[in-house]
Amino acid sequence: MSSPEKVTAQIKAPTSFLLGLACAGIALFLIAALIELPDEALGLTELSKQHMDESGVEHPVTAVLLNFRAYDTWLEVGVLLMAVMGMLLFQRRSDLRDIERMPAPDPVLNWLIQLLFPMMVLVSGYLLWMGKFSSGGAFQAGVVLGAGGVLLWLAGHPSISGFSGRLFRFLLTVGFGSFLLVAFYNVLLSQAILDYPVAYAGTIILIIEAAATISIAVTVAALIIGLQPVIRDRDRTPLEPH
Amino acid sequence: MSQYLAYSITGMIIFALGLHGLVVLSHILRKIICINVMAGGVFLFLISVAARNFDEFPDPVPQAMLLTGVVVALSATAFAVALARRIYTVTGQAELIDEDDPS
Amino acid sequence: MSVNEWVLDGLIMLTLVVLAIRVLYTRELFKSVFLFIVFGLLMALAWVRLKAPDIALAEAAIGAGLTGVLLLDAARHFNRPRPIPHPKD
Repeated sequence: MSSPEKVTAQIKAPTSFLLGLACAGIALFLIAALIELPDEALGLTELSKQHMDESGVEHPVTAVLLNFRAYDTWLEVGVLLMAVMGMLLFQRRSDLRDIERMPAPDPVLNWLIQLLFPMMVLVSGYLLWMGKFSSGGAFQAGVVLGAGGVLLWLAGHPSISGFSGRLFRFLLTVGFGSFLLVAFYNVLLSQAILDYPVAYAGTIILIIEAAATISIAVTVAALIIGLQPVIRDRDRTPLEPH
Repeated sequence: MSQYLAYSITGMIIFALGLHGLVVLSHILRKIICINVMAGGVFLFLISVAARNFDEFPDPVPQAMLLTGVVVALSATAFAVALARRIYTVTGQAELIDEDDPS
Repeated sequence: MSVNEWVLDGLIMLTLVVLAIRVLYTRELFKSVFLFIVFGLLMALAWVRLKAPDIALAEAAIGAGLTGVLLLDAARHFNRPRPIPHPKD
């Protein structure tokens, strides 16, 4: 087995050079296509501006994410969920309770984290709220919160590995589930699947965003923490049959 | 040549570089990094297209796509890393080499 | 667009391309991952130049921060001898 340290090219130098030429060709084609784009862009800025009144929020990116193209966001939260499910599936566990904990940190780091983590929760909530008016929203808020969870865990705290299995799975699915509830409600009333009434659009978006923030945070933290070795790593049954 | 066009071309060059790396390099982790570099090129292209011809506010649709795209890229990377570590644990191989290939 | 802005943009683009090459073909895996983190941060800077500061923030946190943590951890894993021997060995 070769050392993983060095760059190992499976392909020999002449072939590699030819492949380089092919990739350069692809790049040239793409650039040629770019240059042929019309100068006058017919983007969707105007269209989204016209419908901002109906969206219930004041920031165009949030309006697109949670209202005009809510489908995309819904399925995207679904993709996150599937990534976690895939990871847990082939690790043969349903929660992170058996993850090995990091050793307790020195007092200075501990103090820093006690200071930083509440700030991160605060910033996350602020970003979530600000999404209605300006830059911010569920994704940024979720990632900040998730990074806070990872930080907490790196400092030897249980973080999300302290959640019980049921709570962990609930938090993972609550974002996807809230979209599903809205869709189900709309189907019952035989409306378009993700159509919010204009009067309540802002509130519904905030609730969905809050749920999505929690799901994104737990998912991001689980994807990073879940890669760590478990306690009793050697006792676990290997995945392949003997 | 405008600013957005220059950045789009840079994005395409980065995409092609990542593609070349993906085909040539054989270490699994390097392949994952290559895919991330390719994603970076695509993101740069989308952002620059969103910014063209708009002085006050760029096109929100590509920006929203990007925001979801960045998070999906992270989760896909995490899943790929989990798979790669499993492959390394089970087979001891960190390189993806086609054994039938005579070269 | 002033000349200064063009110089700044040109520098960012050139550094991005050079960094991409270095990320792919650096000999050491760890160095490659570190360069990738720098690449992500510079990418965020380019997005700020393209009037998308909020997404740039997200990219700095995700593309450079969290992906960096993931890849660094994985690089450490790959540089260790593997933990469980294969039954067929």
